[in-house]
This record gives sequence, structure tokens and C-alpha cells, in this order.
Amino acid sequence: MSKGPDALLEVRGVSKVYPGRGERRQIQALDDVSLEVRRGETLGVVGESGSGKSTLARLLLALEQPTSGEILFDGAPVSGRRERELEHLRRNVQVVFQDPMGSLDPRMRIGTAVSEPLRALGIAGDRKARVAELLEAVGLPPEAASRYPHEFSGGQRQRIAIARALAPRPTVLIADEAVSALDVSVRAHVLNLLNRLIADLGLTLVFISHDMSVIRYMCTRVAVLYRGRLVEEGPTDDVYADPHDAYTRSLLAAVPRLGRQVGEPELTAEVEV
Amino acid sequence: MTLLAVEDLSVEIGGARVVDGVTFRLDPGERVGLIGESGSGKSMTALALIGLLPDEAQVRGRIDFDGRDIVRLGEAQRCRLRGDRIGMIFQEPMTALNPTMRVGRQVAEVLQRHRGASRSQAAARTLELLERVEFHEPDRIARAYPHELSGGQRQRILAAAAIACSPALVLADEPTTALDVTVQARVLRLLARLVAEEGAALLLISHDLAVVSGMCDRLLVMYRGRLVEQGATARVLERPQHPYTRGLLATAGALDGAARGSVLPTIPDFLEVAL
Repeated sequence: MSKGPDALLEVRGVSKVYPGRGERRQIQALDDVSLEVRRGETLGVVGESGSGKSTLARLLLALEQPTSGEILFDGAPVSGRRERELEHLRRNVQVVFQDPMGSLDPRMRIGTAVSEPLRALGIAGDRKARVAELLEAVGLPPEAASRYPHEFSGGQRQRIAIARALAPRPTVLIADEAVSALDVSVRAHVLNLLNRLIADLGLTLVFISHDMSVIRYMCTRVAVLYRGRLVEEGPTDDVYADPHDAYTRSLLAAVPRLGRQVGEPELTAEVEV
Repeated sequence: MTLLAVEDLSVEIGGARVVDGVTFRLDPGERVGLIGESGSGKSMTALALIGLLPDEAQVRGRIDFDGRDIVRLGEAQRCRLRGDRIGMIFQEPMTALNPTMRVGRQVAEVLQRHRGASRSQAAARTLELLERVEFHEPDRIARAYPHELSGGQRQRILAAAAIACSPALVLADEPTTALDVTVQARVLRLLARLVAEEGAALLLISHDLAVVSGMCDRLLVMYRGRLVEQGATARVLERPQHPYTRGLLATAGALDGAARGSVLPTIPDFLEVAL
């Protein structure tokens, strides 16, 4: 793949294999995937279960290492580095996961949770003021800092997770199924918030989702993963209007739409599942 | 003729009214969608219909089904209805299936319990049912354990069990919510075909307006325990009456039409106008 000068994250021929153990079979989660995330863009990564999209997220965050291939951030290789060599990445690439209850410690006050990345990265400054500023940015009152996760709704907890991700002033935000567990009405709030933050802060967004509608709305470019392989990539409008890959076509055809009867569109590439 | 008549149904749990004065009817063979978000009371309504509410729940009102009031039936009688006259499919087939029992046996048990079939009769009939839910190798599938099957396959096993006794009503509570979108499309088509073949009524409960509107003739909309709107699917989609339904339609439909990054409508935008 050609590497543009504006490539912020580069994935070069990356494969990830989880070795089998006992009865568990070996899993090839990613198979020779090459992809770049350009500065300031909103890139969607779409795929179903087993596509490798969450593995890709963990590799981009250097929470795991690729089996082969390499990942670069800001021109420097990330793969195989020691933790203390990853500070630039840790500051600049932050993540919001699907389930904020799973990523927020139930015994930790919101203020402590939101300022945690600042402590972990040794970022100096008035943490209390920064927490208040972050909470305000996601539409929560400063008093929220002294409360606990269970006191908030699912949508509010996702706002808190976003505030925490923004604490170290990252350049890249990775959202891994960040709105998938939310009711449609709450989802609209969180998407509006994300769009405002991306514009205000000039964030680069990697939006990982199984939801084709949300990806179209959020992302200018899209990459489609299927069983660990990158099957299609391009500007979102082009891919949606004229998908080249059979799997992308079946994925688009399967999306339920208001006012369309079930069973009307025949899937082109249905697999025995 | 009415198959199911729910009259002024209320459910209280721990002092909270989770279902509040719900009234609706279902005709034989009719496909009705019950839509709502978290906390709307839709799943509690479903559990009330099959008498599976938690013990501490206080239920008022009537649920007339087949000439009997389910609210006032004893547990033994409710147990006879479930799986027989009412087939059920839930969101998480892993919890609805016994992990230590082969799936064929689990379908066969329904036939033995409700139809008095012998073990061999039930086993033979199970293979036919597995074929009807689109398994090409019913013998092999019948011998599998739940964990050896995919989520979509497990949901098809539950569909086979749900129609085993030719029910008058199939109750499906978020049956495809945990499935991938391509698998969801297949399971929904299967469900539509099965209820049509059986002549069964369908009550499809979901948070997904696009899913229910594609499957159902009529929609019921729940919000905060109340049934705020009901009507023919096309009417509800084209001319929603209640502000909540208007908000739900606008938010659900917006993603497909909205310009990239434009501000999406949210439900409070609609409710504030109304209040």
C-alpha cells in the first residue's frame, strides 16, 4: 500500500495468530492486513464477529503484538517496543470500548477514573481543573467527579469513558463498538458529542463497528474486514454506492431498514452460519 | 376472533411500576411488533404473558389467551401453555438451552412433555423440525451440544423447539439482537416463514424499529411502562401520533439519511415540544 505523508498510523502486512491450546484450535485473527489511518480523518472499520476488528484495535493500541508485520505510529515502529518506549503512542492514541461498566472501576470515583491517564502518563498540572473541564466537554456537571459509575446511565457512563480518553489530549481516538450497547436515542446523543469533539479538538477517529449505518454517518473512509482479511477499502460513499466485494454487498443488503419487508433483498454471498 | 387480549395490565416490582395499564389484542395469525427502549417495560410485558415474572412481581389486569386468564393460572397450567400453545424465542439462546444436553434431545423433550410422544417418535419428528429450520444435516446437528453451534444455529434450534407443538402464538423477545447483521437477516426470514407456515401469531419484541417494521403488520410502542401508541405498521411509520414515536422514528431513521457529521435529532427534542 502506498504510504501518504499524512499517515498517522500504518498497519503493514499485519497478521495475528492466537495459538491453539488443548482442544482450542489455532485462530488466525488477522491475515496480512495493510491499512493506514490518515491525520484528521474519520476511518470506519466494519466487520462482524470473527472479522478481526477488535484484534486490530488492540494492535493499534499496542496492547498486543502482531505475529508478523508491523505497525507504525507517527512514522516510528510500535511493534516489539518496550512499554517505556511507547509513551508517545500512549499519550496520543486513546480508546473508548463498548461497555463502559467493564472499563470503569465500580469502586473508583468518576474524577479519579477520568484523571487516571494523567497519573499513568505522569502528566503534570491541575488535575481537578482538568477533570472539570473534561466533564464539561462531555456535557456532565463538575459534581459528577465525586460520584460512582453505578449512579450513571449507560449513555452517561459512555460520556465518562470519552472524557477519560480525552484527558491526555490524544490525537487519535479509537472507538471500538462505542455506541453499540446504547439505545437509539442515547446513541444519537453520544454520536453528536463525538462529532462535536472531533471537530473542536481536530481528532483523528478510528471507528470500529458492526453497524453499517453508524459507519456511513461517522466516517469518510471505510475498511471492511471479513474473517481476518481486509476485503475492501475506500471512501465511504463509493464503497456504499458500489461495493466491489461480495461480502460487502451482502453486509449492506442485510441491514434492516425502516419500511423494508424482511426477506425482500436476497443476500448475494450467504454463508452457512 | 381474538387470540390474545391484554386488558389494563400492570406490573409492580419493588414498588416500581414497570408496566402501567397496558391494553392490546392479537388476532390469530397476526404479526405484531412491540417496540421500546431499555426500561420501557416491553420485556416485563412479555414475561407476564408467559407467567415468568420474578416472584416478587405484583400483577394486575387480565391476559386472556385461548379463553383462559394467564394472570390467574397456577404454575402447572402456565407450564403446560409454554412451549405448547405459546412458543418462545429469547435473545440469548445459550441461556435458554441446557449446555450439557444434545440439542436434538432438547427439541425432542418438548414433544415428549406436551405431546406425549415416545422417545423414538420425538427423535424422528425432531429431525423433520431441524430440516424445517434449514439444517442440511439434521442428524449431525441433533447430536451437537449448544457450545458446538454458532449463535445463529442455536437460535434456529430454539425456533425448532418453539414451533414443535404447532403453537397458536410465537413470542420472540429480541431474538436477533445478539446476532451479526447477516445472520440476523437469515433468522428473521426463517421466523417469518415458520409463523406463516404454522398459521401462528407472532409477537416480536425488539428495540429495533427497522426489524419489527419489516416483520410485522401492526406495531405497539411502549415508553416508560406505558403503551403510548399502536396501529398498522405503515400508519405508525408514516403518521406517528405520539411525540415519543415521532422521536423514535426520527432518531432511528436519521442515521441512514443524515449528512455525515450533521447533528442527529434526539428523542428529547420531540418530547420537549410536547411537554
